[in-house]
Amino acid sequence: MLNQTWAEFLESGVAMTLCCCTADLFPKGARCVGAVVGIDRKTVTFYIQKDSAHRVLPLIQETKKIAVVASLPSTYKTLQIKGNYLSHRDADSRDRIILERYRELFMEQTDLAGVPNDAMRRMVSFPAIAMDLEITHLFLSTPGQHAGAPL
Amino acid sequence: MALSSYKNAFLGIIPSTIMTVSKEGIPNIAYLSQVHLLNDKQIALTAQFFNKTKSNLVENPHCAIRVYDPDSFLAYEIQSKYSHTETSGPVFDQMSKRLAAIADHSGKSHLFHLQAIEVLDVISYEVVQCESVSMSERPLGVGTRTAQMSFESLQKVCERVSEAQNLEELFDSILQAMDLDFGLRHSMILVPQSDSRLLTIATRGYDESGVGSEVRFGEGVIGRAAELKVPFVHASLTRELLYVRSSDNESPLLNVIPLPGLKNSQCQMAVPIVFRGELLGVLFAESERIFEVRDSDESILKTLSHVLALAMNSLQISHDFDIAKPSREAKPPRVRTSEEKLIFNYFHKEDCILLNGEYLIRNVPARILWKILNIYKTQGKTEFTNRELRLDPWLQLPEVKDNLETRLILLRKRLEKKCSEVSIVSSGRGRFCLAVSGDIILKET
Repeated sequence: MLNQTWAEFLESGVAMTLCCCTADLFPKGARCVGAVVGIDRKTVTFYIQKDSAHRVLPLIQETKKIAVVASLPSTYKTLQIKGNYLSHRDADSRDRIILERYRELFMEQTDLAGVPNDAMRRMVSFPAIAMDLEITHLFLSTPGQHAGAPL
Repeated sequence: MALSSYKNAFLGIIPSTIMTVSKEGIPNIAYLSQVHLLNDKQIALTAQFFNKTKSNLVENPHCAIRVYDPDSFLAYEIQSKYSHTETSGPVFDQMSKRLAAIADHSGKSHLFHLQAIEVLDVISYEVVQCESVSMSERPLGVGTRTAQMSFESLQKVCERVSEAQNLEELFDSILQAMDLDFGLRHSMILVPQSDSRLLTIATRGYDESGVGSEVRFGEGVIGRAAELKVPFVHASLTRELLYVRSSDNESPLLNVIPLPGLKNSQCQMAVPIVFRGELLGVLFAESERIFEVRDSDESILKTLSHVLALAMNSLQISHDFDIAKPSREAKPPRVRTSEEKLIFNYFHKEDCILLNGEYLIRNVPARILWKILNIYKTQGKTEFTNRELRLDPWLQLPEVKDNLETRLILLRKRLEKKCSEVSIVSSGRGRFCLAVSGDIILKET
């Protein structure tokens, strides 16, 4: 379960990448373009650009296993979530507000990190798929000696 | 297209990730500090914080690397298979030195000490188009760099270089061209000394000129480019992580001239100037803007390096074989008149000169100055030739490749900055005039 600090972290301007795998254990990834933590903080809704989601959803539905790494560009503070796929749906207009908010927070962060803003603004976030994940494990993944420590 | 066509994606400006899967089918992701494209079939990763990744690779060698093009934000997902780990060898050494250049003076050398590199075989790659706006939709006029590293600008640089009449003009014209034609405003040229050090001979775009400052071979981006004789480009790292700031305790007089540099340097390049295997110098440039120089500029930088090497060698030869004839048009150099006494103190042990208690210059240029000031003081002579300097055993100039011209350039620039009452000016190829205004006192310690 996420604590309040990590829940807020996940809903800030973090860079997020999702990883799933095929049945014969070949990994495949997708960029997440927003996240909302469930009220019980045991589930998270991750947003993935629609075409990108279609690359990975068949695998996710088959194996159910997912890892998402979230890292704050300005500090490299990083969280890794592992969990199981629950469900997915098309993101709607209310979700779009969340995605726009995330986009601005993320741009602020990448700007702080010195990444060219022109390039980052090319990130596509809508239409999107909202995918629910049940958290099973949390790990601190900030680079350093404690990287990989369970939370 | 081959992976090598996407070199910019391997700069790490947008962080790269490695995705692995355990034998139980649990995925894992880790951020990577560096992804190196060894060739179109292999990539190498620097392994630093790789606990879970490493154990997954041992169980299941299949992995995927995600890199991003910083211009287009296109993601490249590279399906790979773990091949082997290297803890020594040429690739390891080169990556280790690159990482060490980053770690220098970062205060985190213990974290950045490279233990091993993981070599992966590339199986296939996918361009993930859908996560970013396509290139055709890119708004006109939007660019992320101001530098212009094109063959057209290279041609302009070469034109400027070819007009130089002597080494000093050549150095100044290179730095001017870097600024005006390549858009890199802050640059410098360093030349090697016999004691495995590089001496700053010309700078442009800095508050302090820093001419006369030194860098050891192997230190920082500049020192490592000199040591390995390969260009170093850091497109996105902060100056604190990259830059050599001397903390040498060997001699208190050695580093009294600080190396110039930008406080907020975000992008640096160091290009060795090599002629027939011999290092003639290092051209360094930096920018406060990220990503101004890229790996994809490598061919232009290498071409520039060859042009500079040929020009330097050619001008050096023309000086070496020049017959020293007095120039009728030579005018005595202008110097500032002063009532102040100028006390030059030569320290034999440290091989350097202090002027009125302040560091002026060391090594061969110091000996040259000391020699000509003594001759001036005892004989009143003001015209000198390179040849007579070369024949003077006290100066200890090497018999071959003595770099006398660059030493005289350094001396002239240091005098211009620190002692305007004393000046040396070229009075034709292979000769120069000394002008002194005021009362000079020579002491030896």
